[in-house]
Amino acid sequence: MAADPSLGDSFIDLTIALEQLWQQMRRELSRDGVKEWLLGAPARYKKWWLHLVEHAPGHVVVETALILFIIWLIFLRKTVDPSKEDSFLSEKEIDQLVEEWQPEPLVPGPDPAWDEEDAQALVVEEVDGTRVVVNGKKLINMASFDFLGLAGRGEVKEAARAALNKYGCGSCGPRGFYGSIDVHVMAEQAMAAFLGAEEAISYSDAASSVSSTLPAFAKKGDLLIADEGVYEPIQTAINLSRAQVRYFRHNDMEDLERVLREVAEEDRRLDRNEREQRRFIVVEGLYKNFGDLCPLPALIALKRQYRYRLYLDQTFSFGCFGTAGRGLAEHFGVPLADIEVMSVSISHALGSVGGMCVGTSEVVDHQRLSGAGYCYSASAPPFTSSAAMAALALLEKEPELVTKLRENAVWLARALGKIPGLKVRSQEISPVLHVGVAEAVSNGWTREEEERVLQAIARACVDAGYAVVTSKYTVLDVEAVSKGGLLPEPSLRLAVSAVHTRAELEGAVEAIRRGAAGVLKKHAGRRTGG
Amino acid sequence: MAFPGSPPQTSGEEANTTSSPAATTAMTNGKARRSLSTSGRTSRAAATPTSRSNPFAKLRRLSSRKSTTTAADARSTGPSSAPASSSSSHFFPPVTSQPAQTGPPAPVKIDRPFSTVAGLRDMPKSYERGHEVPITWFAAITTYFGYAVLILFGHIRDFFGRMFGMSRYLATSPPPGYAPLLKDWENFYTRRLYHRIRDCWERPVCSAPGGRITVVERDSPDGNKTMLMTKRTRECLNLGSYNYLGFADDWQTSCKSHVMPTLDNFNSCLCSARMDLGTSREHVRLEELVARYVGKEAALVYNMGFGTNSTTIPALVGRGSLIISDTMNHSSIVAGSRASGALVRTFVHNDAASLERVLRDAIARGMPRTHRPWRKILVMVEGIYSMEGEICNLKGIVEVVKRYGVYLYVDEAHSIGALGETGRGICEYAGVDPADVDILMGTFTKSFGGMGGYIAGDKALIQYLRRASAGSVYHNSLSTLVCSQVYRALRVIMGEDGTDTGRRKIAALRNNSNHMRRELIKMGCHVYGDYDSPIIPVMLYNPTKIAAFSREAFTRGLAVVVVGFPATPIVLSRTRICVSAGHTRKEIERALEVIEELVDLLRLRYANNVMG
Repeated sequence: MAADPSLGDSFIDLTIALEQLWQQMRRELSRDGVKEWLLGAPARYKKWWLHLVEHAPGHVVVETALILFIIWLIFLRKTVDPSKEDSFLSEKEIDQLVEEWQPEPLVPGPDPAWDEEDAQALVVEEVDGTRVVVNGKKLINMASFDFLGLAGRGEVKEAARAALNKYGCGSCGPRGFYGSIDVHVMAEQAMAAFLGAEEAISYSDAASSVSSTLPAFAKKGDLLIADEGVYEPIQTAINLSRAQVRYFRHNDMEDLERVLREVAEEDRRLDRNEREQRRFIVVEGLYKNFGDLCPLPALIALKRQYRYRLYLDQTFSFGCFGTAGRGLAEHFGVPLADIEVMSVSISHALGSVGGMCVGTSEVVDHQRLSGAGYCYSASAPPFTSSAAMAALALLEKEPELVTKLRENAVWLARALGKIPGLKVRSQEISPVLHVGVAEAVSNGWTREEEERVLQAIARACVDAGYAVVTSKYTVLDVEAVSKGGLLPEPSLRLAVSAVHTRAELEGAVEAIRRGAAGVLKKHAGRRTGG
Repeated sequence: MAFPGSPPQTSGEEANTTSSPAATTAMTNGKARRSLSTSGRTSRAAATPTSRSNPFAKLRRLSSRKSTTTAADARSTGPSSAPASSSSSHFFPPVTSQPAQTGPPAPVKIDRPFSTVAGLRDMPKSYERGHEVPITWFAAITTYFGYAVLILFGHIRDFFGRMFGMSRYLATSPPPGYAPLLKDWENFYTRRLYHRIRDCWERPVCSAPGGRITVVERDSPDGNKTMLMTKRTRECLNLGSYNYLGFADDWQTSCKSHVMPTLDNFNSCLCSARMDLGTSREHVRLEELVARYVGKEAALVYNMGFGTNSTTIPALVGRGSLIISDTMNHSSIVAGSRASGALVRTFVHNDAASLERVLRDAIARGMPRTHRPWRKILVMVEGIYSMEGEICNLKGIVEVVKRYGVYLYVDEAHSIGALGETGRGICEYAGVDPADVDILMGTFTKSFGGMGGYIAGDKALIQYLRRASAGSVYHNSLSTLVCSQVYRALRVIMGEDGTDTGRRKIAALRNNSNHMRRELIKMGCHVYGDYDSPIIPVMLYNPTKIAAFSREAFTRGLAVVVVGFPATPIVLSRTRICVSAGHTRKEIERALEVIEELVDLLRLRYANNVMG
């Protein structure tokens, strides 16, 4: 490199130039130089100012005003922050406000009617198949959701007994933390295998299973299209998810399509990308509050067309429909893969305690960290899983139970339909029957009146030896009706079981017939008399 | 001597326990003081009580100290009758030779951390309220760094997975036109962080969840994406279950004969809601007993502890009401509050002064925007915070709540049965009249070895809840079997079974947990929570240590729970040790040996050294 003279020269030139520059800077930036410049500044400023006043007085006026305005903005303006408004309240004033504030009572005051009701509550003392002893009286059970009569089967009880012997009662921990008992895992596998799903996850309560599953997937900003007749756990789930929700009329596929089309149009109008929002259609398989089935094939066609995922709650339909009790998908011959998320219950048809969610590994696995009722709650006692497995094995071995259940349901629905003054509101094949007062009779009645009549009929049935209940709604849901909430019509709710004998069903129909005749007559008399 | 109420010939196992205050102080002094001086320097906790000048801090200190020192002497005579001759369970010393007493039984002595004034003086501040130990700077930096590395490698793996089409998560990509089912961080966290170490959770157990458990080992064919149970099992000492009073250990002798007959009379469940046909005489009997036990007029039992909170809260408050919730409250309270539609504000964890500030502010301003007065205000706290092991400062909170006339809801999920001289929970422990708490909620899963939960309160409140809460009107009722289990467990705890087993269980739990906590603090770990609480969280901080601690403990035959995000804040990973009355002192000592080994291996002595 040194051999190249031109390069060496230019380097030397550069150093010299730099050196000169440095010297000059030192001169100018020396203490004296700076001092001189500073001392001269006021004079220069004065000169510039006078020059300005002389040549552009308008500028001076405007700019001075602007400067003053800025000073006022920064230093003199009193800022009023609405959120801190109350900080003007003195401690004394706050004390006074605290003194004056009177909360409403925590709950509405004691109601003498409650005491009366509680005294009449049905307290079960013994259970044996379809027979129960209630308040010392032998009754035929027409109220429990033990659809297949599996809860009382020897095999199931034996399984529970064996599990109790082995594991004791409680599991003493959440699933994540040594509360996973091997039977929990085995019950999940058995359920997944039975339904032909990839995996299943078990919760210790059927309702919590439903209200935990949906919020694990749908979050703020997602969209749920729900049937307006869904029961409370799904309502809670929708609430908890904080997702956007739109309702369609109960079991009305045309209305559903209208809602779906509206959303699609909005997408186009707002240029929204449908891939950015998780969208679910939320339905029940068998509606608890109505006793009718959701029209699954039509629903799936719509869901495919508009690209929604389906959440199907089979809490009541599992075990009751299809040739082998696999629920609604089997009943309608729909492939399981079309139902992305599905909840089933082991505390209804299987006669144990708890609920499950089945689906692909992705769906199930996600809930193990995000399902609130799974993550943050202790697992169910092991005997519930053992009992459920035993019940599931029985269901597999005896699919005729499902056929028997349907025969009973259809028979009962038809028989009840012939009772004058009453009307069966549920679908014929539903094992949950809703029986109301016929419109012709109840014309002009208030809801409360109708409820009272049905309650009286139910009581008459209990007196006649049949445990029949009315469908009940919480005080809050009843209150909400006046604010636009929806509540199904009042009804007697009967649950039929595969192990009800024909004689028992005939007896129940007779009891209801007599009860209805007596109560309706009395009521009609009171109405005309009053 | 763990059980001075028992005769002198205690079994060898119990003999080496050190519960006398003198011995305790002597033992702790040497090693502890050194660790103290370091922790005193780094610990914010040591400085706060003196620097804080508001009257509530002082009140809180006083009340907490008082409760730890004198509650034992105040109410030691329970209603239990003379102890019967046979209390036969493996963890209680035989009492056969004990002469039948006619008077009240000799009080079961409880091991306390500071039984004397001298003891108090010698104890460092952080011993007193260990939960306020802050993370060291070194741990914080390494923890963040650890997560950064994990996240970086996760993204690299995702990138190459997509590029070469080889990933076990490819099947999860959504069909065309659909949004991905799982989004962003949550999904990424599950795939790339949780799945790496998922073998540390959900280990299946194939025995009763007592002091010793048999754990099924698992294999994974696909890098922990799926876990398969094998035939191999491992015997472990169980420090993970909430089996506080040891009913899982002696179930065969203490409960079985009372639970099994229920199965003859009933099915395992009634398959119906409480208001329909789901109420049995077992439920009625249990509710009466629970009400009597917690000192309220009436009670209502639910099928699930989580559901108890999440369905009761919406029945109590709604729009126009305000919930003031402790920042550390359990997820079920959060779920219930969200479902209720009431507005939720939080106050600084366990700080009555902060609660007062929030209350004053809320009452003075009223509802947002309209400034109308609130309809109701409900303060929600827990008896023992399950992830912190911390005991609620109920006395201070009750004082504030009473002064402002708002309602108080106490969740006793972990404290019922475990706190107080007779196990009656936080009210008894803190010396608060149950009448001052409007709603007492608790669960049956922990101390009672059952399932479900209860709400206890005035008769009108319970009558209303029966009609207003979804858990009572819509959801299936509590299993009859569980009802009889809990009924029996409560009778034992209350001494109504004719033995003093219950009192011994409570004392054993207290002794075991205080011993465990004291030893862990002595080791120099960062231990959260208060004395007398059976939940003892030891801080791990680094994500890698979560898995290392759990796996190493498991290979050494120790089943411990490790907790990370989302159950804790992301940097505050911990192991949570739950002590039971079913553990013998020997088992506790063995557990401590193993933990000390691990503490050395993983460098967890953060109180002694910034770097652990």
